This record gives sequence, C-alpha cells and structure tokens, in this order.
Amino acid sequence: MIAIGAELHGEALKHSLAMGLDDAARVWDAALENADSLAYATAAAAAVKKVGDVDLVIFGRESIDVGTDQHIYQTARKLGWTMLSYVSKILAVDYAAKTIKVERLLEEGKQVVTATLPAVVSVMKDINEPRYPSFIGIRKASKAVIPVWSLADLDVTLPPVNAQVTKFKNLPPRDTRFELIEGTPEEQAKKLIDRLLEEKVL
Amino acid sequence: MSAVYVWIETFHGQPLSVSWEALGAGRLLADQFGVPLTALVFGENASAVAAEAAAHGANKALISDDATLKDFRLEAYAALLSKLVSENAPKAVVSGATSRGRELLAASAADSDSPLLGDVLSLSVDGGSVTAERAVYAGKVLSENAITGGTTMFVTVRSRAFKALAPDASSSAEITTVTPALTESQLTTKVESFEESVGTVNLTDAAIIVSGGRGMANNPKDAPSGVTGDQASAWKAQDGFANVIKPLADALGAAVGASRAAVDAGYIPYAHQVGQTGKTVAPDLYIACGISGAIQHQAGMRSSKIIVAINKDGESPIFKMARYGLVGDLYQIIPAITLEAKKRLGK
Repeated sequence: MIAIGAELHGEALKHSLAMGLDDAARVWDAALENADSLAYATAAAAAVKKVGDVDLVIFGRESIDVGTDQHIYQTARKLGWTMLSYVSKILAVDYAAKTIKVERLLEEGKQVVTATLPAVVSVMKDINEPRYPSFIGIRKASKAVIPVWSLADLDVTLPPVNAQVTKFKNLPPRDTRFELIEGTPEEQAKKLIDRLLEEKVL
Repeated sequence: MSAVYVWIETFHGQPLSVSWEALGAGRLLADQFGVPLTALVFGENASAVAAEAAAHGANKALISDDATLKDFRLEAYAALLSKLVSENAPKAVVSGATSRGRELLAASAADSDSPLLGDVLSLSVDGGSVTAERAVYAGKVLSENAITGGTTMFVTVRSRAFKALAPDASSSAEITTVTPALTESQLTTKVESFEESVGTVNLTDAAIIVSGGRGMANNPKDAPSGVTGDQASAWKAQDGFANVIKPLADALGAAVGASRAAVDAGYIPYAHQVGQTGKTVAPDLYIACGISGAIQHQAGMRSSKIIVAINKDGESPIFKMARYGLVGDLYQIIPAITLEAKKRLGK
C-alpha cells in the first residue's frame, strides 16, 4: 500500500496493515504541497518503480475530497502501462502469462476486456467486501514504522505545475424559497404541475 | 497552425450531446486565442459525426475511422491524441467530463506534461489567462483554478454546465483524415464482449430526473408469498420503481435516478445512483421520492434548478433543499402526478 500525502496519511496506511497488507510506504515531499495531479502521478509512478517487481497497481475510482480521478490515468501513462478503468470485477489474473481479464462498468453497460500485465486498474465501489482488522494485525500495525520516501529517494523530478487552485469560494446562494404543497394527492398533483409549468421546467 | 481541439465523443458511432457543449466551451477559447475550432472524431461513422460537429460550430475536423479505434480503448485514443498534440501544439484540448473524456484527456495531458482542469463548471478567459471553477468537497465549495503555463491546456467540462451553439446545418468544416499512432499488434487490450444495460440511463444529460430512495419499500402491494424480510422490501421497491417511478419518468421524458440507500439495498442497479459515489447531475427539475436527502446524495444533485421533495416525513433534510415539498405517501402522490402530467402535457 502506497499513499502520497502528509503525516495524516500514515494512519490510513497503519489501518491497511492492520487489515492484513504486508507492506506500506508513504511518499511525501514539500514540493508536492499544492501540486497538481500530474505531479502526484509522476511521484506515484516513481514509487511503483522503486518497489520494483510490480505487475498490478490498484486505485479506487476517484478521490472523494477534490473529486478527481485524473492522477490514476496519469500514473498509468507515466509508467507506460495498460490502464483499465471502472473495473467492477477482476475475472482472472495470470501472473505467469502476464494477462488479466476484467469486467468494466461503462455508462452503457458491461464490457469484458483482456489485457497484458503490467497494468493499472481503478475499481468501483463494492468490488470487494473489506475485511476487518484483526487483533494481531492491529498490534502489528501499531509497532510498524512506515517509511517515508522523498522525491530524492524516488530519484524523480516533478514536471512544472501549470494548473493551480487560486482560491476556494462559497457556492452562490441557493434559492431558499420553499412552498409546501398540501391537499389530497390529486390536489397536490394539480398544484405541483401548475407550479412546474409556471417555472417552465416541463 | 494552432487550434483549439475538441474531442467529439461517440458511442457505437453516435455522438454524445455533451460533445456539443464541449464545442460551445471550445468556441470561447478559440475566439480568445484567435484560432480555429477543430473537432477530433475517432472511430466508426467519423465523417458523418464530423459533419454534425461542423453544424455545431467546428471550423475544421481531424478524423480517423480506423478499425483500431472502433471501441474506445484508452491506449489507442490517447496515442493518437498525443501524436496530434505534439505535432500541432494546439492551444487547448476540450472534451466532456464523461468517464471516457476524463480518462483520455488526463492520459494525453500526462504524455505532454501539460496542465489539466477536470470537470469544470465555468471558464473565463481574460487577456489570454484562463481560469475555471470546479466543485470540491462533496459540492459544498467551489475552487477557482488557473492555468499558469504550458503550451497546451486540457479542459473537461461537466455535462449541462456549458451551452451548445445553435446548430447550423449549412456550416461545413475542412475535414482531414489522420492515421492512428498505434497498430493493432501494438495494443495491449482487447474487448472480449459487451452487454448493454437494459434501459440505458442517461442521467448526466437528462433535463428532468425522477429519483427514488429507501421510501420505495413502503409499497402497499404485497410481495409474493414466501418472499419475506429484506427480500420482500426489495421486491416492493423494485415493483415501485417499475410501476410508479418509471411511468412518471416516461410521462415527463425524464431519467430514473436513485439514492445510494436504494442501490445498496438492491432496489435498482448502480447505474441509476445519484450522489457522491454515483453520478453528479444538474437537471432543470429533480423530483426526489422517498429520499431523506443525506449529505452524500445532496452532493450529487444540489445544482439542480428546481427540486421537488416527496416524502412522508416532513422533517427530512431533503425539504431544506427543495423549492416544492409534498408531504405524504409517494405511492398515492406519484400516480396522481403521473395522471395529471399526462393530461396536461398531452403525452
């Protein structure tokens, strides 16, 4: 398990060790503060290379905070590996033959794809039921010292950051008007359709 | 000659309407930079789609209907896009922020170490500098983002955030055929099969969405004998989606959405899910039926223009977001609305 982020991310790594993962490392460097997805992807690809003998890199579908998935595809490109996104099932992996077969969830339906390894996959929610951390796992994780790799440790230089967040703003104020539509279901239906026709949304 | 590129996304040879919105966004940039707007159309039916792109504002089109581009495969598409970007150094590459658009532009931006603004809600160009707004932290905050360097900027636009240009069938574009960057033997993926989902769900494009939540389980119909407990609830809710929600959606020309609670309980497939771990939508009208309005659901639908909440619990958080609230039994109210809508809309 590899995380890129400040000290806080160490907790998530300890939790995954407690759940049974074998190894964890955290990548952090002052240069990654306020960097863009390309910088994260460049660092992630370098970290995978540092681990060495890797056939498969697994990502979640997207980050939930700033709502982006672009670092995932960019990591695959920086590695020069096959990208399989929106994977809902891993149907088969053959590490000897270096092949993988997955089911992908597209907007329009389900697609089955075969590909060669090494590959980067991003997986959908519910692909797996996470196990609970075991008591022994928690004890082991609490003692684990998770290495922190700097960009120098990864022997990588970041591309220039040319897309930046300049500020955060509140949403424009919502229309706070509210009308409770009362009556029998038939009266409610009639009044609602009246309003929606007036609003020109039907 | 430089240009602004817009990738026209197709599925089985048919263009997606968000691509016309992307052309609208691309037009802003092309006019600002004083360069032509060029449509990129890859895959089957490319020349016919290029003609449609011309009607929607493209000055030029680069097309390839090579067999390697028939299905969208990231490696094939990204290699061709990156080749065009490195040869022609366009000012910008724009597409819809669909799953394929996000993936393609991110990959190509990485190939050229170019800046990328993903899933933007607005673009402003001022004296050559470009800024964009994005929704972050479950849609509760907007971030303002600036492009501060690089030769080519990559931008994906959220569905329904930009207006398509009014189509003009008399406009035509100069069409050039390009050669794919990779041959079949250089590609590492193969599409084995595709199973189209029953009743496609076009939530992000929909102008009207009717969504159901946990309250769908309060169906007065009895589940078949022998079906009990959670399975009976699921049967009731599925029956409600099919026989109560769907008829209203059909009467309004709407898409069917759902809350995470309804999806997790197996009432309806994941493709219908609106919210933080599902689709983000911004229709003109969003009708929430039996949905309490958890923060994760709000994240996916708060940009809807008019929200109607129908729920038996008048204290549900969904009413705080709604323009119109109807407190009562959705199994009585919705059929009444369907009937009224058919009568008034003549459908």
